[in-house]
Amino acid sequence: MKAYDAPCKRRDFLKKLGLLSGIAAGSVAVPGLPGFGPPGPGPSGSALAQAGSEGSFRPQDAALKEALFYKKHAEMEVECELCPKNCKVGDIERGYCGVRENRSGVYYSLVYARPCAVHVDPIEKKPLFHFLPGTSAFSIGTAGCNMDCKFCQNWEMSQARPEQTRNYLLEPRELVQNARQTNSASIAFTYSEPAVVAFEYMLDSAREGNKENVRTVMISNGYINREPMLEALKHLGAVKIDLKAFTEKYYKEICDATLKPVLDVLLLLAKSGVWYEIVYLVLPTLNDSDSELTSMSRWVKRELGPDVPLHFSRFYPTYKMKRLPQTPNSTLERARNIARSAGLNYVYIGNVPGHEGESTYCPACDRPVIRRAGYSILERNISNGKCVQCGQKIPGIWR
Amino acid sequence: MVVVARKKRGSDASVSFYADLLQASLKRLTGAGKAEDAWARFFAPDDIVAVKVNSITGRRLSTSPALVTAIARGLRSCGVPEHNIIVWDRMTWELEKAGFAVNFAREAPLCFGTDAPSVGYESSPTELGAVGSCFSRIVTQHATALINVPVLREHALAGVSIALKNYYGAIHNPNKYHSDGCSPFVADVSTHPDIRGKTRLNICDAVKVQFHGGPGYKPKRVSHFGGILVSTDPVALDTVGTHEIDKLRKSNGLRTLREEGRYPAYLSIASDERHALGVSDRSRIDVINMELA
Ligand code: SF4
Repeated sequence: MKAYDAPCKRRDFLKKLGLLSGIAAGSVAVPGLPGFGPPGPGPSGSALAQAGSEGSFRPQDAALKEALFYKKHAEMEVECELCPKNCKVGDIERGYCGVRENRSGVYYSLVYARPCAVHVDPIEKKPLFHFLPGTSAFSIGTAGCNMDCKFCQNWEMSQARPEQTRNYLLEPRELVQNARQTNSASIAFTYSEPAVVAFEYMLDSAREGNKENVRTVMISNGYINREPMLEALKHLGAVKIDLKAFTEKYYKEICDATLKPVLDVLLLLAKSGVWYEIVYLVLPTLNDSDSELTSMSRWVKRELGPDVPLHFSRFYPTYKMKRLPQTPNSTLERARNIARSAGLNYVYIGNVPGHEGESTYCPACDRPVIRRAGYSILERNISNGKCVQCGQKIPGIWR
Repeated sequence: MVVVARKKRGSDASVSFYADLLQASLKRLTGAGKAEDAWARFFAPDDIVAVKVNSITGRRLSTSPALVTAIARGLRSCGVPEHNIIVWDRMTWELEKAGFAVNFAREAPLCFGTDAPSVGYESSPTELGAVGSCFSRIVTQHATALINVPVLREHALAGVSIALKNYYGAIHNPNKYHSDGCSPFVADVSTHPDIRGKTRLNICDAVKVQFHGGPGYKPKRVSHFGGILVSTDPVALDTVGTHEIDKLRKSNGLRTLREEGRYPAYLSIASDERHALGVSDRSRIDVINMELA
């Protein structure tokens, strides 16, 4: 693996990573990526301040990867069919996500093998609670996103263009090697919206990973068209979808996107057999009404079934939402109660370390099958995917 | 007032060619008898003047470095020292590709992109209407005055890309603002207090005009115009520029932007009460056509 602007020796990198990977909680940041570090996956400094100090990223220097899922039109225009934005892009222009560029009528990804954030995270941080719990996920993120959520915690990378972030050069095969050498059970495409905007990279990495039994997980906003999603599902180990709210108004005003395609993706997932979980970030007064939470929970139960894990996460003021207070515990607890009353079996509370809502409870005997605090697992009462106390099958991918 | 200055012959796009056009336009615009007095109406010797060019299309259809040299001479004539002039755009490599001499030293006008070391964007976004962007620190922190030097170009999504849209090069996320004909976004960007307050002149390089197929360079859709457009009002300049593009479209057998439903809506938005960036009603714009020998 090479840092795009500041090469570091791979062996040094792995050595440091190996030393650090014993830390149980939180991310392990990759040395040599200043500005990207704990406590969260997002950059702690300003990624937008300038490009790497050793020289600016020149997109024309990158080994470009031709994009998948696009159409060519007259006058060298292209139409991207990857996500519901369906951008029409003229020559020398980019799509909405800022990481796909039309060069003389051919559409290219500018972030193939160029993550700007690389960490080893607990899989619980994604969060995926029913997928290989207690394992590490080799987690990468690239610049770019096909939404513009006003509350984005990682906006300095998600709303940046690849020339505004410091990027590593990490080819799919090398990515898999790094995952294996850090004892990571999976590779997570995460942090911004790499799942959609770095689609080609994710697919090639998943193919490589599957050869080595390293599974790829897609941490996504679910704003992707049907055909590419079906293609991705052939290769993915698990998916986490951010369901931002349950109204078109919220999607339009807060995220610059639409709800319907996300629901369609969830319906596809329900039929696919690929493990998936849902996160709902609760924003006080904007998506936390009883009626919205009830409609959403009932829809999940009816269309997806009672066993889909649903995580209600706490919001912290940031980016363009600095005036809203953080979500009170009571709101998260109310949301959890509503979802449980609607018949959902696995409803969690996120971003509140130590809360009882972080643990998995057996829907039959109500005892904890996995007790968690933050990203750590304190107790496991599950064996072969069953509650050790009553034998109830707990859905998920347990090994 | 918008001055459209053209040369009948000798449009070799040299520094002296542009200097002649600039002098004539600025004298007409200000009523000053001498060019240096005209420059002095806009700039003082202690100003730090950032000249925003458009370099996205490489050498083929970017702001001409010769025009920028002529502008720098004009600034020097009113006492602005060379090292107080910054020629800039989004990316340093784009400037180089367009033929500008990148310069971080202090002996000549400085020339670099927002991506240059120690420059960058503001660390948090400024929200202006529908736009939320981090602005180049050249605009917000380095410059005391701005000169906007776009090219005259049709744009498939925006309708046209002239003076107002040139400031998309001042924000970190222009890709977010190309839907709905770039409206109202183009107008919103220019309401940034530093853009509104510091832009003293708009000088459009119209030696060549791309009347269709922009922003990418399409040689068959480029016509010789042989002039510049100058105004203190970016909306009026864009309105007049759009009219010129439409005239070329018609004479080349194409429908006008309005007939195609692509007339830039952001022009009238830019002139509404909230934006108040200039005049978009052509009948209210004083257009001065000058043809130099
Ligand atoms: S993936 Fe990017 S370029 Fe493609 S449609 Fe979505 S936002 Fe547009």
